Amino acid sequence: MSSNMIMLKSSDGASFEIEEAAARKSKIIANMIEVECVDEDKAIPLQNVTGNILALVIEYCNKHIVDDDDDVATEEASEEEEEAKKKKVDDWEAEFMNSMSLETMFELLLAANYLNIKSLIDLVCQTIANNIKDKTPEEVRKIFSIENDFTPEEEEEIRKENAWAFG
Amino acid sequence: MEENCEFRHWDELIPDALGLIFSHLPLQEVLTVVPRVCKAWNRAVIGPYCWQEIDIELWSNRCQQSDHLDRMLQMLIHRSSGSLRKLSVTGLRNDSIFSFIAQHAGSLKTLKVPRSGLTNSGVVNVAEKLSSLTFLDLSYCCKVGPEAIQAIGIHCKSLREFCRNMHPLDVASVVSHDDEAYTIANTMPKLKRLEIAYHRVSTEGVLKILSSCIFLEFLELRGCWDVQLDNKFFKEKFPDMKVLGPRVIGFYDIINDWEDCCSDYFSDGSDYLAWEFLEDGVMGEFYEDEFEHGWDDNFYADNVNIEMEPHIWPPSP
Repeated sequence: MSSNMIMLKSSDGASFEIEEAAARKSKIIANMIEVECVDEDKAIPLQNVTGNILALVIEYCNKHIVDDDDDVATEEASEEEEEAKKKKVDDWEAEFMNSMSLETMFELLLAANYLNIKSLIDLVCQTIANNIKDKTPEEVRKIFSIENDFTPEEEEEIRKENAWAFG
Repeated sequence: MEENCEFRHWDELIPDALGLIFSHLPLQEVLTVVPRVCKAWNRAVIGPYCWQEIDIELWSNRCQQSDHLDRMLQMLIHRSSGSLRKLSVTGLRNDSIFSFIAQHAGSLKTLKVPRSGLTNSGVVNVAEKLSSLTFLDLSYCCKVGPEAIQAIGIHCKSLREFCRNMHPLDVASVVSHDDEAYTIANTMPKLKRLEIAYHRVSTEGVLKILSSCIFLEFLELRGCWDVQLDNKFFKEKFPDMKVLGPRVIGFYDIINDWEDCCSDYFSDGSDYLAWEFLEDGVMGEFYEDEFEHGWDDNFYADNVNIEMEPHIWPPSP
């Protein structure tokens, strides 16, 4: 495995060293590498991502690059092994998201979008969606600190609107 | 300060990002809970970002009233405002709702309409509007045949994946599906993935497909009892192709057992139950995979979408 290292620099000036293979999880960075915009001595500046969020992104990319290598090595793996591996990734992702505040997830979502890392976008969206699932509108507002800007009549109107589909 | 910050975030988060989050929720919650949270979220649910990919397969499986199904499709497709990329629904009752879908299929790449009552003429009439399709699932649609498949093959030049699995009970009276196999071979030479489980197809029919569809990477033949080709043949001639069947092993056994013990369900015509099992199970995972992964055994790895372009919202103003 090639272990070319590249440097990333966050909006608040923190520098991170990351394996090229891991950085390629980001399509934006992968493109930069393809067109040779990356100078080996210079850090890639990421204006829209702060250091603490970038650290999370890098943690995610590093973890998943290892998993990708595993895939190649065990192409003939049995179903049980596949399932065990999937469970391992799921567990890691659950742990990774578990301690995160909604505020951090929000920032991470924006960063994942900016860096174009599809699997991370999906993971974060799913985790945020899980906070909405099986809740009432009032509970959702509380969790996300959103003010109810509907009148009771308006809210009732919306409640009625789609009720036909789930009778 | 911190709290203010968070407050401002969640109801002002750009609607496209919100749409992406909401698309991870069940339909019922997207339509009955999310819009009542606040005006911004309501706008996001009414707008197109939630509905570039419409997957109402589960809901439509339970939907008993065809007018409800049509109404739901019309509402959601209108919301997608021409940006519909993927649609998954089961049991369309007739050609007219299929025609409505086709009228709005300008960006549609993935279309799954299994168990639908489409007819050949219904498909032939609108096939040219489906030219963006790369994935089409017409499984268990018993009223369509070679004519519909030919029209799709002629007009959908980008089609790479085609599912035409049948239910064993539905093919009991069919003498031969070879006409379908030849039509696939003649009009869909660029297929990478083909599923024709439980087809009454002959060895010759499959050989014709194999010689015409030279890019084929995955072939589902389970339950095609008349096909006299074994693993050894495929391993020698098509070492890179993943082939399932014609022998039935694995989860199909479970389903066959399941059918035996649920034969009551078939007598009253509601033969969907057993098949939900299949649609929601292993097959569903197959669909999510991408060709780049070479169809290895790892159906779970890195579920990237079929579409090549990223699944990203445009930059906000």
